Amino acid sequence: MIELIDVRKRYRRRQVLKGVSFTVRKGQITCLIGVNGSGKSTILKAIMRLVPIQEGQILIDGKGRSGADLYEKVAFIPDRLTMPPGMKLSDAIRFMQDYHRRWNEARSRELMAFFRLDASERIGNLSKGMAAKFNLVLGLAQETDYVLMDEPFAGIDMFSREQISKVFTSDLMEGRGVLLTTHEIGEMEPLLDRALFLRDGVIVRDIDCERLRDEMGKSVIDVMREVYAP
Amino acid sequence: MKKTVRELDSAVKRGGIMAGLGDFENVVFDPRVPVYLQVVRHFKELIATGRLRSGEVIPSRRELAAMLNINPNTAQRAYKEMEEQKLIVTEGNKESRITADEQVLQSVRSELIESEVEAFVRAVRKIDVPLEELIDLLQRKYEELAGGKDHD
Amino acid sequence: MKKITGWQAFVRLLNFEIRRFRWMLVGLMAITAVIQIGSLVTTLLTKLESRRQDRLSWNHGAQQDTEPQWTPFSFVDLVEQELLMEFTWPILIGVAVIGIYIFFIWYREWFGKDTFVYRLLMLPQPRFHIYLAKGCAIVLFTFSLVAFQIVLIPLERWLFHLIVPEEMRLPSDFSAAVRAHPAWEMLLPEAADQFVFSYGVGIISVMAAFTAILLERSFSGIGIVYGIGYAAVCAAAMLLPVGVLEMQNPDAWLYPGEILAVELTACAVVALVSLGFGYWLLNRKITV
Repeated sequence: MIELIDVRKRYRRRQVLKGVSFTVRKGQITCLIGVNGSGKSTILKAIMRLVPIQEGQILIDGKGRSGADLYEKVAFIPDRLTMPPGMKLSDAIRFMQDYHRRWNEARSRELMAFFRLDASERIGNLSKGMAAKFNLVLGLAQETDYVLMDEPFAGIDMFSREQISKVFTSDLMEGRGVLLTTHEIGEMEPLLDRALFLRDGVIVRDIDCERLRDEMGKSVIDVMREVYAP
Repeated sequence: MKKTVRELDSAVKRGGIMAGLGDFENVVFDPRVPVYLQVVRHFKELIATGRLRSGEVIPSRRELAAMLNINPNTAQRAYKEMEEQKLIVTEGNKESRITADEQVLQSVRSELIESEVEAFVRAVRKIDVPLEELIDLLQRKYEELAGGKDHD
Repeated sequence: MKKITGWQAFVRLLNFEIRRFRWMLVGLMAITAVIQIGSLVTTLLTKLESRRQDRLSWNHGAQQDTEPQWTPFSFVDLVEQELLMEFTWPILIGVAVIGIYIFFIWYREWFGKDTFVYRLLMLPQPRFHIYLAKGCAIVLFTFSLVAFQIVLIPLERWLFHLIVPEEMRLPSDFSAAVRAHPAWEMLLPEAADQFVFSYGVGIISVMAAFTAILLERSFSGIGIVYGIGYAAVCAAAMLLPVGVLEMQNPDAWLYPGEILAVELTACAVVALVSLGFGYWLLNRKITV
């Protein structure tokens, strides 16, 4: 599991994370919820060592994260494509394949076919929906134990959204620990195992979704209203 | 839950005999009720309306999750619940089937009818109607809809 | 799962960087060749043409009574006297491009919306490979251009011999040719120790620049101050021994040998600190 223990981070003068603690377990889909700018992306980037943290610990399977190991255990799908626009999709896949041992070529082809992406297209020519889907290909074709996704549905058209949510229910996610961020739940609700609510730099609620429904008769959206009501 | 019954209703009106893919798609879930319980309820409705026959093979957990657009863990939980309620039988690692036990199937039907009737009575009691008039109306509506079915 | 050794991963990354600059390299080589050869040929042809004109006008009874004599000249003479500016331009352009590329090679990863730096930092290999690959790329780029210039010199001399008729030319050798142009002298010093020193200082400067860049990228806002500050400190450390202690001055406080030792130590310290600091920044402080 991925554990965050009292993580604190400052950006310029602002204290963005003020002691964030939570756990992401394998085989579960966990959703990190928060309003825009609350630090959700920062948390994902901090786990991936893309931004430094000032205090706190982040452990993967009980151990500190060391260089190469981290990136073979956790795949990150950022909120943007992070590939040069001049590159062709096939080149981008070659790049991933060249450096990542855990790249599953067959799976990448499956996903490309499922999303109906043309490998000879250039990255700069992709629409927002196609770019988001290709981003998923680059992340999910790696056989990692954990997958982090930053706003996978933001600004995506409805049909692409449906395609993307199909991935969550497929065997691609089998046994993996998934942490995704969003500021709107929408049709994702039935897919979530856990929901974490980030507010003012801390996790204020950490919820098992089915228990919430069972014991309180509430939906995740109801809790969102409670937590973020102005 | 009302939504799913309406859904089933139109599915029944459309005809068709065996439970097909259509029975497991476009199911809308109430986000305030545990999803796994709604899945179990959905199966009970399919059984009660005869769209799932005794002994019939049902989709695997994974297939079901994909069709219903739910978390595979939820599908897993639903199946476990149904096994505990003896609604389905799983032989080892192979496929799952609806139970062949007629008693169980009967009790499912009566359970569902009873809960629908209860919901109906609760709703209708707010409108102050004498019981005989209600029974009369029920009979008429029943015959009307049954007649409609014959014409298909 | 095939095993990719650390070394293999580094080489792939280096190859990746090299492929990214290949057109720039070819372009610079082309510019150098075109300008140097072009100016050589046009200058020679002009000279020969004007001599022919003189000959002609003498034949038809112009000013002088004696046949105009043309002192023969060598390739070296030509370069020294008439081609200094023309030959300098391509070298200046090359230096400028490399200078810019030292910074561009890092900052390009942060350009635009789809910042590639995410992918580089998430590669399952030691992050320092990125630093080393970019450093080696710069070094290879520089040496390729220098090597190209080395190849051009005899070629230009051969062209000279081709164009200029025998009675007008003098022979010259390669090392004389190199000494003909101050820029060439700097790029290709005869003494091996001077070579090592010049290029060594160059490489260490690249290391310092890289670390300054990483400083800037690790601290948003104030980073630029840190970066420039670090670069200034390194520059001072490397220039001070020679400048302040006055290596050239026979009355200086220390013996030349001692000054040299101080200079070398300073350079070594700058190199090691830059590498170590760069390593630490890349692993602990860098921010996308």
